[in-house]
Amino acid sequence: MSRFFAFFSKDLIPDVKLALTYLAHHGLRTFLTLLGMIFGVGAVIAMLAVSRGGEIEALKMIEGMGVRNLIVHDESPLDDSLADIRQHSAGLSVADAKAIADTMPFVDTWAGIRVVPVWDDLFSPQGNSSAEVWAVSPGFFQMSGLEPSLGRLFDIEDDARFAQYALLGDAAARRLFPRGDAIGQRVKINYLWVEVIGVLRDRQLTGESFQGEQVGGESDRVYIPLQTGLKRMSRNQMDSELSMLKIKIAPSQDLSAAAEAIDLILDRRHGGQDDFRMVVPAKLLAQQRQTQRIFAIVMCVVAGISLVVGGIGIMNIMLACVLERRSEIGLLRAVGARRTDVVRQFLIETTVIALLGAFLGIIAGVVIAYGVNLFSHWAVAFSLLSIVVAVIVCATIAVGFGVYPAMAASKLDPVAALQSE
Amino acid sequence: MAENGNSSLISVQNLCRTFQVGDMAVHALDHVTLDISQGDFVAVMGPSGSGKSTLMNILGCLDTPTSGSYRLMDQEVSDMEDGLLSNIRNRYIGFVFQSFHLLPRLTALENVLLPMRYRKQDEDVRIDRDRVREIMERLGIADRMQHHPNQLSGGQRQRVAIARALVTRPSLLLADEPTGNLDSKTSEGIMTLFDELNADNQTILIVTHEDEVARHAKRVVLMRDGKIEQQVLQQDRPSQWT
Repeated sequence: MSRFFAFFSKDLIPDVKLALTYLAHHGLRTFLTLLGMIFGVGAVIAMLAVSRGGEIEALKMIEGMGVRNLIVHDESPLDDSLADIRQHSAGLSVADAKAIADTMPFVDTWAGIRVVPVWDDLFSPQGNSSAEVWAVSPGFFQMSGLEPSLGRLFDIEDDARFAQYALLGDAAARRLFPRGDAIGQRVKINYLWVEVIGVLRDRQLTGESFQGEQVGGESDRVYIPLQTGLKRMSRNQMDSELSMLKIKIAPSQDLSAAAEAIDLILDRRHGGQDDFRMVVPAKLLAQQRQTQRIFAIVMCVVAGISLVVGGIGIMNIMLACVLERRSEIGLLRAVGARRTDVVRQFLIETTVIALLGAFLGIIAGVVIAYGVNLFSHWAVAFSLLSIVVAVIVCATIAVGFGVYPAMAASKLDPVAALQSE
Repeated sequence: MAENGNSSLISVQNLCRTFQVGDMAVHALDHVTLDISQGDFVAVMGPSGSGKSTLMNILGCLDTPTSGSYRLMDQEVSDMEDGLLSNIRNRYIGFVFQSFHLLPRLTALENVLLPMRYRKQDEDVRIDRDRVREIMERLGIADRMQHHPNQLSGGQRQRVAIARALVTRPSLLLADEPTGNLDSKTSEGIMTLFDELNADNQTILIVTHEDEVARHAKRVVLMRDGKIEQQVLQQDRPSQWT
C-alpha cells in the first residue's frame, strides 16, 4: 500500500500540472465528462443530507413525544355504536390513569389530556385565535419537553382548585396578543374567562406529524389545567373523560413489556371494548428508521448508477486521449518512461478529473439539498463524513475506470506510437 | 558500467529482426553485425525499407531483436525486460527525431527537462541548472526557454529536441533524419552542431538518406534489404553513392 502511494506521490506536482493543462486545453470536453461525476456526487451528497436531516428531525419529534413515554389515545367511535360501548366502558379516564399508576411500579408519571371542544374562536381584548384548547395535567409539560419562555407553568395546586389559568403556545400568543405582554391578561374560551400565566417556548418542529402521530402544533394551542377543563367546561355525557393519556415509564423498564401490561389493564377496565389505542414513540422511531433506510438504499442505487455512468464517460474520454496522444506516449517511452510511468500519468489525469468532478459535485449536492429543503420543507443536514465518503467513492470509481485506458496507453509499442501522428 | 578501453561502446552480432505481416515473415534486419566505439560518428544510409530505422530502434532499446546479440557498454541488452530497457533509454541514449516530438503544452525548458522525470525516486533528481543553461546556450536557444514549441522555428524546435537528448549526458546520441523537416540552411546549422558535439567525444549515430548529412559522419554504413552492404570511412568514400 505504501508503495502504491509512493508511486503516486513521487514528484506529483508537474504531473498534476500537465494533467490540468491537457484538461484545460479540452475545456468543453472535460466539462461534459465531468457532468456525470458532478451529478453522481451531487446525488450522493444531497441524498445523505436529506436522509440525515430526516433522522435529526425524527429524533427531535420523538423527543417531543418523549422517548420513555407511552401514549394512549381515546378512540371512542362517533356513531351510534358509542351507546353500546358505553354500557361496558366509560372511555379513557383519570381513574384509568390512577389504576395504572397504582398497580404498575414502573410508571414514573402520567399526564391526562382532554381536548376541549371550542364553539367559536378564542378571544382576548387584543385579538382572536382559532387555537386548540387542551386541558392537561401539570406534569404534561415536563413530559413533553415544553418550557415557558415567559411566566410560569401551572402546578398541582392550580389543578386541584380548578384555577382559571391558561398557558399559550407561541403562535397562539402572537395571535391573541399581537401587541405582546400576554401575562396577566385574560382570554375567553367558550363562556369561560381564563388568566394567562405563561407563554411556551417554540420548539420549531417543521412537521406537524410523525409516522401518522401528531407531534407539532403545540405552538398554536392554549393549555388549561386538566381539572379546570373537566369541571368548568361542559362535557357531553357520552364523551370519554380524557382524549389522551401520556405515561412515562421508568428507565429500567422495557417499553414493549410495559405497553403490553398497560394494554392488559386498560382492556379489562374497558370491558374488552376497543375504544383506545396505544402508541409507543420509540417504536415509531424504529419504523421511521426502516422507511428512511429503504429511501437511502434506493437513492444509493440511483447515485451509484449515476457514478458508474460518469465513470464510463471518463473511461471513454481517456481512451480518446490515449489515441490522440499516441505519439506523445511514444516520446515519453523514448526518453525513459517505464510502462508504470505512463500508467501513472494517465491515472493522475483521471484522478484530477474525478476530484474536480467531486468538488463541483459537492457544490451541486449542497444546492440540490437546499432546493429540496426549499420546495418540500424536508430538513437537511450535512456531515463532513458524507462529503469525505462521496469524494473517496468518486475517486475510486474514476481510478477504477481509468485503469483500462492507462494500461492500454502503457502497452503501446513505442516504435509504432512514435510513428503515429 | 565500467569503461573498458579496448571494447566498443556498441557491439552488435548477427542481429535479426523479423516482422510477421500476415503469413509472410519480413526480415527487416538480416544478420547485421556492427561495432561502434566511443566518440564515433556513424551515418546509416540506405533506401527506405532497407532496415536502417529498425536498426536504430533496436540500438536505442525501443525495440528488441528477434535473434542475435546486442551488447551496449559490455552488457547484453537484447533480452532485457521493458523496465530495464526504459532505464537504459533514460540514462544512456538520447533520441533526436525528424518531427522533433516536442510536447506542445510544455515550454522549451520543460521539454528539455522531461527525461529527468523518469529518474528513480531514491536518486537525486535535481538537475544542475547551470548545465541545462549551458546546453541551451550552446545550442543558441537560451533565450527561448520559456517559449512553447509553436512559438519556435523549425530549427529552434530541433535544437530544443537535441538539448532534451543531451540533458542526461547520453553515451549514444541517435538521430533519425534530424534534418528531414528543415530547410538546407537550417540543416547545415544542425549538422555543424553535431560536428561540434562529436568533437567533444559525443558518440553519434545518424540515420539519413541525404548525402550532405552523411558527409559529416566519420563513418558511413550503407544498408540494403536488411543487410549491411558496405561500411566505409568518410575519407574512403566514393564521391558519389547511389
